[in-house]
Amino acid sequence: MAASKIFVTGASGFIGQALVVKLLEQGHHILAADDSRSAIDSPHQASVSNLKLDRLDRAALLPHLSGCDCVVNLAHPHQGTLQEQLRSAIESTQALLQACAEAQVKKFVHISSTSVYGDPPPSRIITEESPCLASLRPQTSIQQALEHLVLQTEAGDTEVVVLQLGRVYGPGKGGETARTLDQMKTAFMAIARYGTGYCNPIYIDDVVTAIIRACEGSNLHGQRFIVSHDQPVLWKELLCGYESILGTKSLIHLPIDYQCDPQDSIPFFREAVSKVLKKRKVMEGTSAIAKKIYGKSIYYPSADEFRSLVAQPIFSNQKSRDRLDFQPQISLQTGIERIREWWGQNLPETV
Amino acid sequence: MSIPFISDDQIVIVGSGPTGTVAAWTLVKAGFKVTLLESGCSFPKSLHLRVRDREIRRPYALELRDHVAYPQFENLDDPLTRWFKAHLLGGLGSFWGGVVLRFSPEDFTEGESISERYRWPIGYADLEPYYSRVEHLIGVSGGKVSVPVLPACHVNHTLEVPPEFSDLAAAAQKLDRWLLPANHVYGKSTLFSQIPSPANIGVRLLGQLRRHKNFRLISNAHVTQLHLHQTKALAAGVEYLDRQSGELCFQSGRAVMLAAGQLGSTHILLNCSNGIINADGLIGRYLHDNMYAAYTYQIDRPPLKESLVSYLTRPDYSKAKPLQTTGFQVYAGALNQKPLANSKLRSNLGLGSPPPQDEGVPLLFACFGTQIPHDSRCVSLHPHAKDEYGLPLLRISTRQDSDDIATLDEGRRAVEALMEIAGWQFSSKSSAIEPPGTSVHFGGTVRMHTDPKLGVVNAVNAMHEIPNLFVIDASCFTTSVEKNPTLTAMAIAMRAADLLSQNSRSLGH
Repeated sequence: MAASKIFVTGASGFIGQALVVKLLEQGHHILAADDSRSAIDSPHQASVSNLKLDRLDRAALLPHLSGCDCVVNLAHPHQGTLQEQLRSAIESTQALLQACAEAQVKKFVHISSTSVYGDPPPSRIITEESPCLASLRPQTSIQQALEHLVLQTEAGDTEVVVLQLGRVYGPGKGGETARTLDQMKTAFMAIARYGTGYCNPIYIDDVVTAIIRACEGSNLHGQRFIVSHDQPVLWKELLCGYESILGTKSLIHLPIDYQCDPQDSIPFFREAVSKVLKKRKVMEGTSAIAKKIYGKSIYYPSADEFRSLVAQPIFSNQKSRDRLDFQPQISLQTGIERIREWWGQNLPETV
Repeated sequence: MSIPFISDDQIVIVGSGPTGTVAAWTLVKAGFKVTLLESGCSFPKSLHLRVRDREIRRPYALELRDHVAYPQFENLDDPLTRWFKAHLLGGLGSFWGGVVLRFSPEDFTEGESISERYRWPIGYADLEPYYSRVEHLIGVSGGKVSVPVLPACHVNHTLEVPPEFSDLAAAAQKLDRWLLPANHVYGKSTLFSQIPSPANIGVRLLGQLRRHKNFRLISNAHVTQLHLHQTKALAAGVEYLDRQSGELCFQSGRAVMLAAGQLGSTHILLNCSNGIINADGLIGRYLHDNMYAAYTYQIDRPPLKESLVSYLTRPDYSKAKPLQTTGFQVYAGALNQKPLANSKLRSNLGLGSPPPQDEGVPLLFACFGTQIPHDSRCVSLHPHAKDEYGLPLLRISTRQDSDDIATLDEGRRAVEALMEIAGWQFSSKSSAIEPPGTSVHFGGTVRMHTDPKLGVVNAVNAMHEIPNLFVIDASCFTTSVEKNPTLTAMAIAMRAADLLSQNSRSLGH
């Protein structure tokens, strides 16, 4: 792609930062918009203009968008009640789209997630044609609504593309990886059905590549693309990888499917503990014991997380292979090795 | 497909929720053979129904959680729409708050003034004897005073409005509303905040029926299709998926009663749309919901304590627009500011426990609003995608329009006016309008109407075209009423079963 002007919303997020750094390397000029401003750390500072936008409204956006070649929409709402989040997400996305159409931006890349197919998605092969099942998780409902909105809204000559990302992992602050590692460091983590559900992770660098391909590609208007590996990766593979990075034992494998009361996992935990301690009688609450023995409490995933832990969906990336010429390059092993490196270097910061 | 059991003397009932069990009970007592199909488990093993204290907790809750279904469906309109199902004996009745309210005579007639399509084919007089019978069956605690908008139930335990609410009751009169004790099932000290509900009518009635020679329960049977008689316009039986063996089975019967709960019966009927069923495309249309909003106030004066639930009625019929009104359950301290239905369901479905209660006792007005059943709100089937049972995926298309929001907002102003008149000092803590489906009161998709162009079932709940196919759950409601629908749905189911037993000779093959 020739050097061009790219507008990125949600630029200070996990994906946003990685994307901006990569785009800058490629010599593009970036307009980085976000509501919370943390400056982008890059040797190409000169090409970044930081905008602080609390609310996206059309009039405020227009001057910035004129002359832009591409808009990447990574912003997502995180404040207020459900209805407020939904409303503000819809309003700001609508405003952004309108402004794009008026400023004759060539391309609008909307970033969504594979959870729009259901959260958790049904355990079968999922393609872009699969139905979007309603979810109990409000964030997913909002994502579904936004996706519907950007695909339905008349956006003039602007080409609208939707990318549905799998579970993005990789080094970097603010990402799911850093969060999970922090959690596993301070607490034991209970995982359901021995972690045999599929987690469908995709490495951050692959995601950035996919976004750039979507920016470059042509004749993609109104298309959705699943960005994921098409080979299943089990939850325990990812989490055991994290465990190996930390070098401590953190996972409690439970045979059950759904979230249960912390009290109900006592037998399983007792078993795990007694294996280690052989003889000691366990009479107190599990978290207290864990704290006493290991200096760690226990993290019980919510019911939502539990259901994600047991689902076994497979995402087909046929379409993104054919139309975007995109295929994930980084295997789980490579990804884990890179995270290990990053974690080793950044240890004091993340604590 | 295996055909394990064929007999034409059976009446097949689909669903073991409050309506299905009440119909089964009525028919078995009238000497009929009944086969009840339930998609969920059989009798829960560790069910403890302790009513007088609040120790109904974990053994049952765990059991429940295994059988709660997260039905797969697609939202076509409001993306936050919720649809709940329960795959267990007693159905969604296991999550029932237990509020028991009769509809008033005008509730059946007020829609007529707007349009012919909102005319119920039955009236209060038709249901009155069945209301009494259902109330005797389930046992009701409540007030004995009838007011124009809310007839009194037959109560076993008489309840009074708590004394600290007397100001509020007096103020309510000035606004043409009434503050009454909330009628509910079982003992006088039951608080509704305890869920799983002690009011699992399904389990309670079926427990008495289960050894009766004329009664047969088939559990793990998820009904997918209806079969019609080859030559006559009559239902021949139902096809179901045995969830344990994964096998498709068939159950024949002389009559089929659908009581598969909110949108469940509609889903089955839509799946077997053909030239006879749903010829006019009426099934699934006129969806309505009891809109739910939670208005919580911190009361500074007078001091309140946790007390029994009261009910603030709708205003008098002359004071509100037809089909646009609100009624309230009034909770002092029994719940925290988290919306009722949400927190109930949330904690039940294992979605996290309610937040810790702050200091002081908040007052929650749990507002239920009516929704005019517009033709545009509907459910339909996905053209090709299937759900986990092989039925076409259900699509729900509903939203709260500006009229609906205005109705709920008017309700909020009414309760604030009420507290001002009563001289209470209050400050608003939260007011949340919840998305469609939160109240778990969807109805109207297989509506009753005497005109086959406007309704799917007739005044005795039989389909217009197929006289031995009945829909007896709340999806037969013609309009939405702000009062909790379960008692009325049970009365309608009992009436349909009773009339069927009286007219049974005219049916059959």
